[in-house]
Amino acid sequence: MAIDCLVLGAGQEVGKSCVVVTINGKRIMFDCGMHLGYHDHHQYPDFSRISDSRDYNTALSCVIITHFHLDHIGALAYFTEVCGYNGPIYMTYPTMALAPLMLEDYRKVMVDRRGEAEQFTNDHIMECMKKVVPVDLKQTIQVDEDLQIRAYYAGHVLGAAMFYAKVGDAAMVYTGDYSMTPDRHLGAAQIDRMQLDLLITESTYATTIRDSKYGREREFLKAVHNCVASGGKVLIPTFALGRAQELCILLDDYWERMSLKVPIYYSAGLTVQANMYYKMLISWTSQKVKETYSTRNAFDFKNVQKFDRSMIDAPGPCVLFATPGMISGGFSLEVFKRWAPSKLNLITLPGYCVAGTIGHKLMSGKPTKIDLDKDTQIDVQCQVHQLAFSPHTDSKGIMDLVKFLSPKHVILVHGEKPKMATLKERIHSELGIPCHDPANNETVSISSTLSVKAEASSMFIQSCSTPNFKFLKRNLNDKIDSSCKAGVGGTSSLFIRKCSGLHFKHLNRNLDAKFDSSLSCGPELQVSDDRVKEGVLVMENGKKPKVVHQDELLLFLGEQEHEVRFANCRPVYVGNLGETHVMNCLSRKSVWLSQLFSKLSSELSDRNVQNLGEYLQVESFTLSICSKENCPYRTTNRIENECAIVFCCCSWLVADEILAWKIISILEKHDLGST
Amino acid sequence: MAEGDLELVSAINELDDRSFLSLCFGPSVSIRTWLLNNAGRFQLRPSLLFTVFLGFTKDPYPYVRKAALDGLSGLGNTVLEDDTLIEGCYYRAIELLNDMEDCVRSAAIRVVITWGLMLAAHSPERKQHLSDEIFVNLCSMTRDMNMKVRVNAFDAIKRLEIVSEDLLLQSVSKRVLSIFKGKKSLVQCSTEQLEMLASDVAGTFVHGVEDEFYQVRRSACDALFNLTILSTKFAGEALSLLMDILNDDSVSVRLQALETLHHMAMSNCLKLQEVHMHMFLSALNDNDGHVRSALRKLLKLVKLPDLVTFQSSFYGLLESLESYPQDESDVLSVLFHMGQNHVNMVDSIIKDVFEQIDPTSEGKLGFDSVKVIAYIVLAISAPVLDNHTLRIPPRIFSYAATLLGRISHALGDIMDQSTVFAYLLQNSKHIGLSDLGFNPERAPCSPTSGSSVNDIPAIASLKMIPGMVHEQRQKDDDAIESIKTILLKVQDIWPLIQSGVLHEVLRTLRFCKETLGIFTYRTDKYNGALAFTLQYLKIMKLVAKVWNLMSSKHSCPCRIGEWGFLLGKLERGLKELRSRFIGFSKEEERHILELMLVTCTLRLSNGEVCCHLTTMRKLSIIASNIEHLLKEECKEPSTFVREVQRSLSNIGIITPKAPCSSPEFRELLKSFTLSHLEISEKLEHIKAELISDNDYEKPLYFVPGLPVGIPCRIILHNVPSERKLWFRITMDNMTSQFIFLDFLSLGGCDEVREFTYIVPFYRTPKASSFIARICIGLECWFENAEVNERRGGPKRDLAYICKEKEVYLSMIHKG
Repeated sequence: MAIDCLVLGAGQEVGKSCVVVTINGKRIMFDCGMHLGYHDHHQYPDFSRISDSRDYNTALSCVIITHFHLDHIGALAYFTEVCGYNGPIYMTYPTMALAPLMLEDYRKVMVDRRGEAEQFTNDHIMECMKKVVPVDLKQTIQVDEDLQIRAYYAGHVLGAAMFYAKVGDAAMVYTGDYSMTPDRHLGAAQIDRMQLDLLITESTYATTIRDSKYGREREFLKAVHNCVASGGKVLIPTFALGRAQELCILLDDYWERMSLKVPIYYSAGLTVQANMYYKMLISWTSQKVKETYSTRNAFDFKNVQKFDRSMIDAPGPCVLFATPGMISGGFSLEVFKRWAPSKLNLITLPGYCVAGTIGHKLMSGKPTKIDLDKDTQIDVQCQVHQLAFSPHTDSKGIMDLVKFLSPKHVILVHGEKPKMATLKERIHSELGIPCHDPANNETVSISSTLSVKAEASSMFIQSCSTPNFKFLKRNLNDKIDSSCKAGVGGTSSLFIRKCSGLHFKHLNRNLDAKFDSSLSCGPELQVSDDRVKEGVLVMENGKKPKVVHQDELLLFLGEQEHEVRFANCRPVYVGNLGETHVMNCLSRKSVWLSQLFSKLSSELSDRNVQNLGEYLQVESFTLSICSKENCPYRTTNRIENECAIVFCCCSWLVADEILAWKIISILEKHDLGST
Repeated sequence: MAEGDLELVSAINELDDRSFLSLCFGPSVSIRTWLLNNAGRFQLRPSLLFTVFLGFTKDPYPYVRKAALDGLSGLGNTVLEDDTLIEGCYYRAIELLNDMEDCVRSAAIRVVITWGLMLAAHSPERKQHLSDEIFVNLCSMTRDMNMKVRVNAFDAIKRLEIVSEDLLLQSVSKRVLSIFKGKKSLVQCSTEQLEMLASDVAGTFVHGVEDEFYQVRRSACDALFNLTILSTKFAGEALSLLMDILNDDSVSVRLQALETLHHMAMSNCLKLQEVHMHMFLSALNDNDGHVRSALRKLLKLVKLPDLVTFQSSFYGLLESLESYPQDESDVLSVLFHMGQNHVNMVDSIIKDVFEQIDPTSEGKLGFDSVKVIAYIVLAISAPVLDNHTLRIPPRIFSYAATLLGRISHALGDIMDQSTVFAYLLQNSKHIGLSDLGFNPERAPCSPTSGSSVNDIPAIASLKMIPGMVHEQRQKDDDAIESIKTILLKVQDIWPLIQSGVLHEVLRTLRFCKETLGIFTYRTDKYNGALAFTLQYLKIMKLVAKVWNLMSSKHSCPCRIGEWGFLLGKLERGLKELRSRFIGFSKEEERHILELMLVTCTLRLSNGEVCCHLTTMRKLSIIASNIEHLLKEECKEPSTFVREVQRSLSNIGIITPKAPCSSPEFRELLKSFTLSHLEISEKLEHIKAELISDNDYEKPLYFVPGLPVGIPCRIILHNVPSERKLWFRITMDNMTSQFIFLDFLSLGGCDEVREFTYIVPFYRTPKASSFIARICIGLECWFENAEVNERRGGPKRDLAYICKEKEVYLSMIHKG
């Protein structure tokens, strides 16, 4: 069985996230986004690749949307209403609440400002939302008989989720966008450890490692505090959802702690509506917000008031949140025009500004004059502070998540190609997990766990339910043992936990070959409990597969036990023992055997060497004097001085191979005649 | 399993090695889990326990694995001689760090640290190496997705004593440091492996302190506690992290950070720099009093690098003083300490502002402003260490004399008022008394004895003053003296008790109590000792009564009820005595234990069957406790203790069928004599005040069947942070409900915590009104878990630390 992963969007780029995954025959579409950089057919994923007949309803089991950003949901209305998909769509409650707002806002912008022909209407959005099934965190949803999905908290934005999907024994996680560190209003991503065949993760910051958020917060607060302390005004242009709330909480908290009295304002509009949603969806925010909720809703800002246009020119310090974020127009531009000329004032800019906006101009260098249009020119004297807050995880976070989940395969999406290649290499080399970064419209196929439904025999069930642990005391080679014990001065290697799973074998073997680390430094005492391992799966044509206990296997199959033994007939130099000629053949044999016995017992003091008259036995190794002229196991037939040589027939099981060769080498070095 | 079933419990107590094993290896998973969780209850051989626990770490059921691991970490105290066993267990735990289940990973972490440290202790030559190994393994767990796992990992890291500097430095940087790239000296492994190892450690603390959960952040700060001493470079990095945490939104995290900083300052590895000052000083304006006070405590110790930082700290303190006038005395004390630590910097500051302070030059500053006092305190601090009096104008000392009350109040922790005064006079003697330049009317009055200190004639006759200001101290001394006398007297009444003159005994005890009553609440210093003595007297009274009953009991069997009642009271009293005080000396502890031993023996001497087994077990536990204490002190046991030990060893293993007879115990009691109790002066009394402004007239309203919140104001005194507090709410003396009080998260320091808390009461009855009684109980640390186990309630017995408070509730009416 295999998992096929067709990347329709966000393959080696950021934008129009859309991945169609086929697991054990079920097809799921993760995200259905649009690309904001294009305005032609590249804008939407190429849905026709899903099905030649364009019958999406039979081709797809379900659509899953991770969060409400346009590059993850933008094409949904188009896909359902225009392309005609009627199946279930899953998203979290907050996403379901906020998605229509985002879609409608975007549709208006497109139609009103750009004058483009609309690809979907408001009715389309409303119709589309009717097909949505909302899910809660960690709620397992049985989409159909075989397919299970479950949402996990992803941070990033309100309602963002990672999705786990399982068909039979094949399981995978699609992360969407996520953040591994919490911010003031949203928590960090949280997921259980599971057996996964595939992890599809975003990789926006595939190579960046970000410093502590405290540093960024400190800089921001210091800049704001200094500005208002000296009587200046602070303008914080933000978008309505997300960053605005985080900064509001940050400032409100700081104000509270420092007992500052300077007013904080936010401009009316979307922010009011957004705050309302945050207040309602409190269970999707960070731990801290949830904890304080019983006493106070963190989004009921104590020090934050509504702003009135007439207050722009009011004297005295203040802090103002205004939309839109990049000062591309609207209210934030209006305020900027008034406040920029004063040296006392401060403008904080978001981490990323689109080229052409005022924000972008302020970021690139420190201009003193900005031309707004032909007639107006703004004199910029104010201070500028750049915020480096980002809701995406950095590369360390991605690595941490991959390490934690330890899936069998990783696919990277939603990132820039060269950086993804670097990360891919790291995941492969450091974690030993095969990793792929397919481009758009490419398909990656990986093998998945095969599940077989089998009956279990009662003996197996019984042995499974009874504990059966053993202690193994490994007998370390004296030499290696001493080097390990004498590990003074850091000569031994550290025993570090290794992620379990098959995919790690390659790495472990590598390490073993180089340092023999597992040999020399594994613990001497080990525990094993093999009750499940003792089961054997029997599959016969025309019969139901069955698991039986290893002890009853032969019985079950009606077979005799077979043993594979290795045999070798070695010459041993016994010397020219004069007196032995006198004895008969039988007693000569027993003399030699007893001599060999005493020799072996002294050499192998830690083993149990037995002399059973006819032959010697050590574990499964047996040795007898061979009197045949043409022993089939004899490798060296031509020997000089034949009368001083006696042949010993040795045989052993494969398990004792090392021991066998050790004994043989003892025999070879040995000269019975000299003793 | 039904815990309440007495028969079953006693049957379980009898379980021996073999039946334990056969049950463990049976197919029932729940029985297996239960047995592993409760293995400590049975008297099993440690080696057997070890084998069973280690074996079951391989069980396919996660809860069995967890129980086995918990058992292993509990076994940590028993000494195993075999290195191989310890090593095997430790490596098995490391394997389980990868377990799929959160609870197993959590438990595995505890085993890794416990057994890892044990292994290191066994093989000192590998200690460094092993510590590094444990550190790397634990660090890799700090990025786990489960909060409890992360908290456990940081808690475990705190227990490490040594870690290589390279690894420490890596743990505060998210990027893999260049020292790990291509370096091979640390351990013998390839560059590839080394980088993997580094990436496990990378940024552990950075992530820890910015975690979403305050519990993790607090643990991360706490984990830095011991590690900062190991490397100066690391201490510097850790300092930057901790500075950022002063901006955290949780009070308990901020306090923990300050505590760690304080520890760093104590161990001399706190190097403040100018970049830190903004964060550092902004915490002086924190609106939480405990944070401010913790920071000031730190400032008293800190060595500031240069004048700029000194000045900014000084102005920071002034600013904080302006916004929080209630902190005045503490701020002044900080200034005094700072001045002592930075004599030269004080000089240059005072030189600049002297003109302004001096009232003769008509400077801008008013004489009575807080700022001037701050300057003056700073100025007078300097000569305490070296005699550069001339650099500070002597006139300042005479100004200071006028503010004696405020200043001496602030410097209470260093010197008392008379010393301050003498010191000020000493330093201002260069100018004549007539030059003192203050008039008596303006002088602020001192809190203790206003009249005498500020009188000019009084200054002349210095000899008189010490008597006045020593009054308080005298009072304290009196108190401790009379406590000691009373305790001597108590010892004297023992023969009286034995001879059965109950009346006389009670009279003496009453007299003692009255004597102590004089001192109650008039001494601050010995409050603990006083409360202790009062409680002790109460116990002696009970002992006397019980003893009396015992000797007369043959004649009057109908008083068995009273006997049980008194014994119960005595047991409770002793339990309270033992758990509500901290700072016991070994001798005091032994004395109390001996009294407990007597109580147990008294109970046994009666021949009651119902609680025979538990009492026997208790007896043997207390006896072994005493033995342990004696061993530490290297002292001989008293006759009574020796007798008890002897008869215990005669009995052997305690089973219900064990032979013992009540006359035998009565015989034992004859060997008991009350020894003298030498009280230590440092005793602290754990107590709580529960205030709620609710009375019959102003009831709280509730809806039957729905929970109701009871707002309470709570002041806790001397509750150590490791103890657990519970609310007990009783209704109709019938049902009681226990609510856990997580006072740590509510902030405050150990000595006094003050906060409001809303106590939920769930089982509201269908009644128009009722009275609920609330009380705060302290979980006893010594009581064994098996004695009392209520579902969801406290695991051990409670000692109540405040008066029961009645709360009136009334059903809400519509309209």
